[in-house]
Amino acid sequence: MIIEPLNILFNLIGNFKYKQYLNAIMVTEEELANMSPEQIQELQKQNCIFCHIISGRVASKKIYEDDKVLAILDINPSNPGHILLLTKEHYQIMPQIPDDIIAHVFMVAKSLSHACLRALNAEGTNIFIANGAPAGQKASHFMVHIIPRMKTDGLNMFNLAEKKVSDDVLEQMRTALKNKVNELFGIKKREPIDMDDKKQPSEEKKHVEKQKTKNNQDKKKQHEEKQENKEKPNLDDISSFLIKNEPGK
Amino acid sequence: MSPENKCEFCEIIKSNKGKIIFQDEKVVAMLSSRPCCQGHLLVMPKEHFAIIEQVPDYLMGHLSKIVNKISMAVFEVFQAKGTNILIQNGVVSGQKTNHFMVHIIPRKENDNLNFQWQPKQLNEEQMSTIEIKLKEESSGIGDFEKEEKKPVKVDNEIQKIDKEENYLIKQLNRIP
Repeated sequence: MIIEPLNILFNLIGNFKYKQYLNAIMVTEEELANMSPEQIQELQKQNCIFCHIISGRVASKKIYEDDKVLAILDINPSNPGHILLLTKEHYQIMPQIPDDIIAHVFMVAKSLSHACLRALNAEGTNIFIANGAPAGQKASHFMVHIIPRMKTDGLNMFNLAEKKVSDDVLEQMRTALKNKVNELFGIKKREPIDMDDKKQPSEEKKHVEKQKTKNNQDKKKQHEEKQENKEKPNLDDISSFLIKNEPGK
Repeated sequence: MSPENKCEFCEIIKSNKGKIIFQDEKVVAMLSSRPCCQGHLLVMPKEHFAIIEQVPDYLMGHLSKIVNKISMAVFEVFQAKGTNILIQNGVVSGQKTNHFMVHIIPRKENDNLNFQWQPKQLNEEQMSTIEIKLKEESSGIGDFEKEEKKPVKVDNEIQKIDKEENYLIKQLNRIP
């Protein structure tokens, strides 16, 4: 019973300490509305505890640091050796991060997971990212959790459940996703695999299509011939031009 | 029997029969056939690796870019309010297949999924020893493997030689 009020008190002290940073940059809503996006970003940085850790104004147990990322020990670890890998730049969620930095983050995460296995004799690791509050994200700074795992540590939430889903539902999702992903990667043409999946057109249609393809082929041939015709005189022109311009011969 | 022959995902990649939504020469992304929620996605290298330590750094980097792009698509297609990205490394951590993969899990409010943990209390001494141990092991990080690009190098050398020869020929021509 005594512990709870103590905890509240400690929390208050903690908040008070943190407010010292906040006091200088408290902004009213009106001011916020008038601010440019860059200014708002700057404000977010100033209000972010992890940005303070990165700048060194708040103490932390640093594991690894380079020009793009910082790895620290979590002060509320799920397991001993729980590492937070932070980007030095302030990003809220993963989709905001440019490609080169996300690649670097994952390469460092891989190395850190390796370090966990060797240094702490862990039997496995979980690498975990939460994007957005519904996914369990608590701080507004993007981070990767690297959690060393032991058999008896009781962290069972990473054992994913397996549900049964009908093939039709999966296929529906696949087409929807594929279109979007192709758009994101800038792929316009559909892959040949899709063509096989489609129902074969009826014979009449086939006939029409054949005719169309024939026409197309004829057109293509004509086009190619034209191009050849164009090129030939050009070559002659060039040769004659060269001969004319060589006064020595 | 090599491990690749027994791996169900290697078979899917070879036969092209899974619910593949994206692939390039190194990486493939597909819908999980045993999803933990709607739109559960798996992104994996085409080559067979059992755990993350075996995956070369450059491939990890390439994979992560694709994970990022696909997680963007997930937000729009499934109207997700968040995503979880999870790598299980080792049986203890929940890995069920021996093919390394990254899970992308679209999240919504009240979706009955929970990845929250109860924080464990460690004293200052425990934290410090962990810090020292981990720091020692991670001192070597930063020297990442790069993809070998041998043919390009050879081309460069030939070009250099060409330039030098050209230079020499020009010099020769200049002499009257």
